[in-house]
Parts: sequence; structure tokens; C-alpha cells
Amino acid sequence: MNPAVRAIFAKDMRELLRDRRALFVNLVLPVLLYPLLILFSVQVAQLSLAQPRPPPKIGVLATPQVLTALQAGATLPKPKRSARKQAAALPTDPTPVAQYQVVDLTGSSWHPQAVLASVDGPLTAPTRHNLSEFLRSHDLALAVVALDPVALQPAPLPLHPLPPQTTLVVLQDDGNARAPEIAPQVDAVLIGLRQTTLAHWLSASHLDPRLPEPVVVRHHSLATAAEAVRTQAAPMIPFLVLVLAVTAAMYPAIGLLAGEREAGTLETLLSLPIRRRDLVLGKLLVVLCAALVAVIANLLSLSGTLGLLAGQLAAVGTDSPLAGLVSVGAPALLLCLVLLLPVVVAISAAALALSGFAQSTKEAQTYLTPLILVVVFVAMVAVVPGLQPSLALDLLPIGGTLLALRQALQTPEMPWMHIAITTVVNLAVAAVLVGWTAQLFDTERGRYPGLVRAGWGRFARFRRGQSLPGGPEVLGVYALAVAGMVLGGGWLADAPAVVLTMAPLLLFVLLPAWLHSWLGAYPQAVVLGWRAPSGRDLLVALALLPVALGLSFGLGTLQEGWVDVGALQAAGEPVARLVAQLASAGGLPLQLLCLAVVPAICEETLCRGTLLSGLHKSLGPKWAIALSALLFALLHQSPLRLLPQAALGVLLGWLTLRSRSVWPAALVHAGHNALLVAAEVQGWLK
Amino acid sequence: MLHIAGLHKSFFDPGRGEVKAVDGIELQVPPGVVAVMGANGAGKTTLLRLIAGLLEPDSGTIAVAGLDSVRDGDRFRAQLGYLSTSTKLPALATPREFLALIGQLHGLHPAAVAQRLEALVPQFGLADILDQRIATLSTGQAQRVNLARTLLADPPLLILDEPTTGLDVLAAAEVVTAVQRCRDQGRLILYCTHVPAEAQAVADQLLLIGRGQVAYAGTIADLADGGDFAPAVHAILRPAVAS
Repeated sequence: MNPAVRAIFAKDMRELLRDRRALFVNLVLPVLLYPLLILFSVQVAQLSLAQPRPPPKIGVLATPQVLTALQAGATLPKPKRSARKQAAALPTDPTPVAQYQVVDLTGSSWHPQAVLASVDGPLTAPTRHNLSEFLRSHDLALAVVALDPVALQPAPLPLHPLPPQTTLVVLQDDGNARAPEIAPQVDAVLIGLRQTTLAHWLSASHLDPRLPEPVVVRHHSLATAAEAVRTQAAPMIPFLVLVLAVTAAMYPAIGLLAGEREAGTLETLLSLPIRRRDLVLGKLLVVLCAALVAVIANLLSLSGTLGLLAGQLAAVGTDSPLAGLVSVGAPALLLCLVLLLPVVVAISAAALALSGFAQSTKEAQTYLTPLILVVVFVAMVAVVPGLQPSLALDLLPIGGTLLALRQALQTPEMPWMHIAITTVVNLAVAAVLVGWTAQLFDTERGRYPGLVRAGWGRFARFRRGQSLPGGPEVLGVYALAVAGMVLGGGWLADAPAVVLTMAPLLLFVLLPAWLHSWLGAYPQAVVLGWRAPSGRDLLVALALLPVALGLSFGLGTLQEGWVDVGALQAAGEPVARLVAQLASAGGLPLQLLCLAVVPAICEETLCRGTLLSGLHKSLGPKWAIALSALLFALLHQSPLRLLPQAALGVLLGWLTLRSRSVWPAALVHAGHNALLVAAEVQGWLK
Repeated sequence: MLHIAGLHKSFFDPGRGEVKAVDGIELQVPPGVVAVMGANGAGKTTLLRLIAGLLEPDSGTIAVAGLDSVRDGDRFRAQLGYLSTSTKLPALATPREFLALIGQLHGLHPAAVAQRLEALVPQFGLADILDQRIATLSTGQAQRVNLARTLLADPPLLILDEPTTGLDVLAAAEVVTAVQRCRDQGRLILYCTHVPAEAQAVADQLLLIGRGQVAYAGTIADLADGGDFAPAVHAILRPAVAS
């Protein structure tokens, strides 16, 4: 490690460890949080049990049979919604407890039967008001009313005429908080009454009581309660790790830059003869360490507390679902930590950079609160039920990783491809953000944000065109383009071939790149690469065309060794269909325009113009070429062509930096696509 | 020693538009002590920050010992010690730890740092406070540690921007005495102050800044003409402030 980075790291780490507030937030609080929370919850639960509430009341205006059935049903155990919950239930108390109290309304003056019988559909507002007034004045959570009270006596079942039917109306007052608690039980009792009555009728008619139930469904849960809980809860672990890391990174990030600026110690460091990026990197390491220590302390504390609680429950013979959480295990946690490490690095860097733009800790908190919200919001993708990892979501930093981790923890198969892509994306984002943050003090804006105000002032000056865009800014443009391509692809699915091929490229690839350069008043010759190339560069481009085709075909052929050829052919089918449709619409010129010329101009402007120039400013030429090539490949949303397109991207990136213009790369790109179209038309690819 | 040529620095103020904080300063300053004075907002701090390499000139150059403030970056900053009202010390460290860190960041060997401390500790009276937390020191003690910090790597240029601001009379006198001890060591000290007596106590040369330009550069003796030089300073700066 660079001596200056090491010295700054040691200094800040020492100060962090001496700062009792930081120690409390990053170490003591995470360790004590869960034991205290769970202890508190247990105490509250015990207090709640020690103060039994009187059961809610239900009114019954029906025959004595209905009344008796409901009275008997009050002490039945609550119906369970699922077998898993039944398995997870604690042993029931042998003493039956009444779930509700029955109030017989037979002798009362309340006779709503006529009103209810006349209603066919939802109740009118006045009727609903009158009924609820009665229930509330008698403190009833719900009422069961028989419209035509008929004795449900067992009698032979004549087919003609049918025995009289009893209609029971359940009036449920959801304004009473306890009504939803007992409604399922009342329903279960009434359904039981219906089945018993039917069984009596069938029996009296010498018919088999099994007659109405030709199919009997039984359900057995094979997983233990612990296993079921683990499957359900394990996906929350990466989400938890991330949220903990973000919150843990905030305090040191604020203290180490905004805090130092506020305390007046930052200028001392800035005046020293060290590279300013070393100063930031030393501080970044401290933030990262603090975040990781807090996450590990949190997870250890959580595991320990749940383990202790599960152990105590096991000692009293309870199959505790908590054991499921404990059994998520160290490998899963380690996987989460390793895969989320680039995300934590990126968030730490972003937090530090935002803190660096603030003049005080209070201002830093204002900047960082939205960052936490954004991270948590994006991370919520991972808890959307049924959402599966996809290439488009893989490109979403944070969310893609959490989704891939969710699948890894829930299913026996590891989604290696998604994990690899999201990791590359996260590493790229982390590299850009660390690069951006490291340059924070290289500019006066970073050293003295009070002199050159950030925030809205910066936005107001956005069109002054004073500098070139950096990595994060152009990645934002790329993200817009990807979002447009993904969403627009769906909207345009039924459009004619010409629109389908050209509209997404012009609207979502070329337009954002051009708008960005226009809004920023950046020199388009530099930012978009729209600079006239020299004749020599065009000649180099022409010479490189066979190399591009060789790379594309060669790597494509090599890839057939490990890629499903059927899938590859299937992926090529829509393209072949487009080629055919364009041929019928306008022949070869239209095919070349839609599939070679327009894609080359649009994609090169975005990938070799905007992206490459911004990344070049932040990361230097090598990383800029590599990252822009990868993003170029990912833009095509075709995992099967990822490698050839990335290799092509490297070649085109090199050519663009060499010529300082996108046109030679566009020439190679268009030539490459044109030859592919020709090959498709001529059937050479077959 | 210090060469400044065609120095310009402007800021964009949303209310006032472009503000020229430093407007075409040309200076050649040999070793010695130079008092820098001027009205509030005259551009003194901006000039000193430019010389310290903390701000970058819009145009013009600053060179110390042949090194350029922009081109040579950290090598340039190795030539100077900078102290201002916003260069404070970390409260949770001790002076010994802090000075060791400064030595480390200057690329000094720990043995060299120890050797320098042997010289600086008696010079600034730090023996009793070297292992106390800085948070527990008085403002005057902390400022003496800060002065020692600027001299740790024995730089040829010392920039002291209002080093007695916020200090009581006794502490300010301590600082002035400490600066006086640093004179005559072959280095250039730029001592910015609003107090004429301080300027007269530490410096023999005077640099007056008004509206980002040099209003006067010469000896204090010439300006004072055997007496108090404050009236002459007022006479020079008043037109600049009034306009």
C-alpha cells in the first residue's frame, strides 16, 4: 500500500477508534441491537399474555341450532391458513380459550331480516349505517342473521320438493379491530354446520355421507418449520447486509470529510505534500472497514441472538422456526459479503464523495439521506415476489446482485451467469465511483465547495461547457439508454420492421447521447467523437474490417463449444425475420440502412463517443476501452453474443482513441454489420 | 525564492457575477519576513491559498525554488508550510502523534522526525504538552503546535495567514515570539495580519493588497518614515476600499 494512504488510513482509523460516538454506532450498537430488541419483544409478548383481553362479542339472530354451533365453536382452535403455519405453531394450551363470546339476539327488538332479504348485491349506505350503528351500540364485532329461520332437522332428503334452505347473513364490522380476527373462525363454524346438516340429511335418506365429496384433498408439508422459514427468510439476508452496510458507512463518511472540514483540519491535510487522491483513498479504506466491521458485528449478533433463542426453545421441546434462520449458515453469509463487497465499496465511495461536497456534517447528512433512500429503493427489487434475474436487471447495480443472491439462496442451482454479469457491473460501478471520489480534491470544487458551490448552483451552470463529463455522468446516460432499449423494445414489439430496428436506436441511443452533450454544452467533437477523421485513420479502419469480422466469427465459432447452438440459432431467428421483412419492404438498401448504417452511427456515438470519452477522463485509456466494450456488448442484450461483441468493442475503442473520432469505428461497425446482413441474405451463415 | 507572474484568479458569484479576487499580481520576493495586509475581501487569503497550491490560478504562474505550483503539485507543496485560520489540528490525537504523521506524510524517516522534534520542542515550548490530547490544549498551545507542524520539514517558505486570530493577548504574543524565532533561517515567511503592531514586530517588508492587486510592496521602514506606519497603510488602502 502507498505509504501516504497507509498513514492517512492509520490516522483516521485511530481517530475513529478514539471517537466514542463512532465506536458506539459501528460496534456497540450492532452487537447490542438484536439482543436488546428481542429481549424487548419477549418482554412485550409476556406482558401482552399477562393481560388477556376479553373475547370479542358476536350477535346471533338465528335458530337454536346455529346458536349452539357457534357457542360450541368458540373454543375450537383457530383455523390455520397453511400447513406451514400449522407446523410452525407452538403447542396449544390444553385449556380451551373462547375466541369469541356469543350474544343471543333472539329476544331483542332488532329485526333486520326484511331489510337484508330485500338486498340483492352490496348494501346501500343508509342500510349499512343502520346495521353498523346497532352492532357498535351493542359492542358486537359481527352478527349472524338467519333470513328465514328454519329448523335444520335431520329428515329424509326428498328430491322434490327440496327441503327449505336457510340463508345465514354474516354482518362484519371491520371498523371493529377484532372483527377480522374472529371472522375466519365464525366462517369455519358455519361451514361445519352446513356439512353436518348435509351429512344428517344424507344419512336419514340412507345415502353415503361421502356423496358430496367425491375428491378428498390432503396436504402434507415435507419441510420442517425451520426449513420453511429458512427458504422464505434467506433472501432477506443480502438485503439486510446491504442496508446495514449503507447505514454503517454513513457515519464515518460524514465524519472523515465533512466533519474534518467543519473542524478545520481538512485544509491542514490538503496543504501537505501528498497526492490528494491518496488522502481520499486512505479515508475510503476507513469507511469501508467501518462498514464491513459493522455488517459482520450485526450478522454475528443476529445469528448469536437467534441461536440462543432457538436453543432455549429447543430445550423446552419446541420445533422453532428461528432455527431456520440460524441454519442459513456461514457459507450463505460469506457469499453475500463477497458478492456485495463491490457494492459496499461503491456506496462507501459515493458516500465519501457526497460528504466531501458538504461544508458541515449537517449538510452532509442532507446529501446522504437521499443516497440511503435510493439504495434501499433499488434494493427493494430483491423483495419483489416472483421477479427473476434477467440480463436487463443484471445491469442494475445493487438490485441485480440482490436478485441473483436471492435465487442462489432459494434454489439449489447457482445462477452463475447472472452472478458473473452483476459482479462485473458492480465492479465497474465501484471502479468508476472510486476513481471519481479519488479525484475529489484534485479540483477546487472538491477542495473548497464553499467557494464554488455544488448543488443547484452547479445545475444552473451545467450549460456553461467548462469541462468534460466524467465517468458517473456518462454511465447515467448509458443507464438511460439501456432503460429505453429495454422498455422501448416492449412497446415497439408489434411495430413494422423499419420502426422496430431504427426507432430504439435513434430515440434511446443516439438522442440521450446528443441531448447530454447539448445540455452540458460539451464540445461535440470531443464528447460525441464527431470529429472529421484523417484519411490515414479511415484506411486503418478499412484494414481492420477483416480483423473485426475475424474476431466476431472466430469467437462466435469458439463459443459454440460451450454455448447451446440451438439457443444461438433461436436467438438469431428474430434477426433473420427482420432481415426478411426489410427485404420485402425496401430491398438491400433498406436492410443496410436499418441494420448497418444507423446502428453503427447510434451505437458508436453512445459507446465510443459519450461513454469512452467520459470513462477515459475518469479511468484512463485501458479501463475506459475495457469497460466501454463490455457495456457495448451488454447493450445488445444477447448473452450468447456477449464475448464476440465485447472483443469487437475493444477493437473499436482502441481505434477511436487512436483517431480521436468515432467515424473510423463507425465505418468498421457498419462494414461488419453489412457483411453479416449479406451473409444472412446469401445464406452463407447456414 | 518566490516568483509570481501575471497571476489572476476570479470567482463566479451568483449575486455579483465575476469577482476578480487576484488581478494581475507580479512579485519577486527574496527570503525574509513579509507582512501581508489589506482590507477584508481584498484577496489576501486567495493569494496565499494560490501560493500554497490550494487554489489554481486562472492564469499566471507561481514558483518557489524553481517548482511550479500547478505542474509540480505535491513537490511544490513540500517547499512550504501553510497555517491559516482553517488549518486546525485533530482533537483526538496528541501533538507527538500528529507531528509524527506530518513527518511521515512529508516522507521523513522517523529518526529525522525525532531529530526535528528535538529542535522544535524547546523552540515552541511543547515539552509538557507533547503527549496530551490536542482537545485538552489551550488555543495558544494548539497554535504553537500548529506552528511547529509547519516547520517540521524545514520548508523554505512559510505562509502564516492570520495566525493570531482568535487568540488572547498573551497567546498572540507567544505566537509572535515563536515567529520571530523562525526569522533569519534563510526562509521566506509571508505573515498575513490585520494588526500593524504584529506586522512591525515580525516583518521588515510589507505587501499591501487592494482589490486583488499589489497596492504597495516595499519596506515597512520606508512607509513608516520613522514612526507608526498605520496611517500610511490607511491612506494607500482607502481608495481601493472606497471604489
